[in-house]
Amino acid sequence: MERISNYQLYILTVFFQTGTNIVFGFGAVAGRDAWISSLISTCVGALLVLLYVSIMHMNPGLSLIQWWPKYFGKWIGSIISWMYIVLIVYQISREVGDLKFLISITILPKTSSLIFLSVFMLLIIYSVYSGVEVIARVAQIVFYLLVSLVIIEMIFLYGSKIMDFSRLMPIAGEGWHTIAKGVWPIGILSFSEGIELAMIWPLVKKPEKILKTTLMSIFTFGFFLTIFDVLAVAALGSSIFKNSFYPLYTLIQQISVGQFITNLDAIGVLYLLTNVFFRMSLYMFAAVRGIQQITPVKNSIIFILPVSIISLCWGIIMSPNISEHIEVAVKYFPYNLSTPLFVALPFILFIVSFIRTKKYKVM
Amino acid sequence: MKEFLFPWQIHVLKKYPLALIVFIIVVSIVLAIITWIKEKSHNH
Repeated sequence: MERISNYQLYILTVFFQTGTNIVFGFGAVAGRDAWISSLISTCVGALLVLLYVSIMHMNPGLSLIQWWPKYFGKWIGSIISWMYIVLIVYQISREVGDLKFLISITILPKTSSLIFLSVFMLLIIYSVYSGVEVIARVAQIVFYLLVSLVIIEMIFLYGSKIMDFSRLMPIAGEGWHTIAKGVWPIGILSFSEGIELAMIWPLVKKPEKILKTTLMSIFTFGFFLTIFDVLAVAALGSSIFKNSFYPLYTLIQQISVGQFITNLDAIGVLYLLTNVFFRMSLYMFAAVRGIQQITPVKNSIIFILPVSIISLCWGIIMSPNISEHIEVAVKYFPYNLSTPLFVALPFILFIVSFIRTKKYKVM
Repeated sequence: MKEFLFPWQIHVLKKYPLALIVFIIVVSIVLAIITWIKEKSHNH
């Protein structure tokens, strides 16, 4: 059986949570106060993660897909489990959609999106085929590289003399209701996707330390978000940050140290590609493992190819343009999918498992 | 009727905001039924 260490879980969680959030500008709707939105979202998001980990502790050794049939029976339980699997496949498709637009808008405008998406998907297939241990080890190596790049980028941004921290003032100048818009629903619900990591929690070597590890990664992610929001607003100003599709990409484009170190756009795309790679690999792993656990099939490998083809095709036909793609993510996904599946259902499950566990202890 | 085949598209979601979750529920029920049938034949 495959096993990952708690440190590997920490790195995988950071990559998973980061995903495309940083590139699209977290809490951008709050304008210059986006960093406050990020901080509040991180704290409330940590509570959501606490809820998920509590459910896991009440059901040791079981994954997200196995929780539901245990408490809601074979009929309703397996329907709910399948809902999570279909949702995970939909989320892989959304990541494919994100990549499709970012790559064609930024570095490969003349290349057919089908070509690079297929190549990228082959990479994901290979990583999932290799197993979660391999994904975790690759993440460990790449993590240090990315953190070094972020630090170098910050130094270059400072060296470009484009930062004006007075753009962050006045703090909460547009009122707390603007900050609240950045917090709910998108801010908090970005953290709720962490429930899908419950598919790899049973594989962690020290399950009793999962809460500590996951909370540490949530706060690391929150720290990066806040720093990025501060840098982006200080360099670009509130209106460009708010209206840009890819504020991180725009921010990196501004780097110009002595008119010598310029055009570092590729670094921005590298961030996205790396984060999306790990996020999609974990989604794919969760989907195929989930299908294997819910069906009487012993080997999950046979599901990798069908899931990849479905999500690739779905991602390509999903949205005709980037505006519509983002509109679905901002207006419909949080209320119609995230709230019922990532907040309401886990909350009900928490209450049911709490009562059952208590009853079992009394008996 | 044709638009219900693509419930993830924005023009469908604008008219019917719950179209996507209904789609996911319907697909899940169908997959669950297939699983029960397969499981039954597997046990036999």
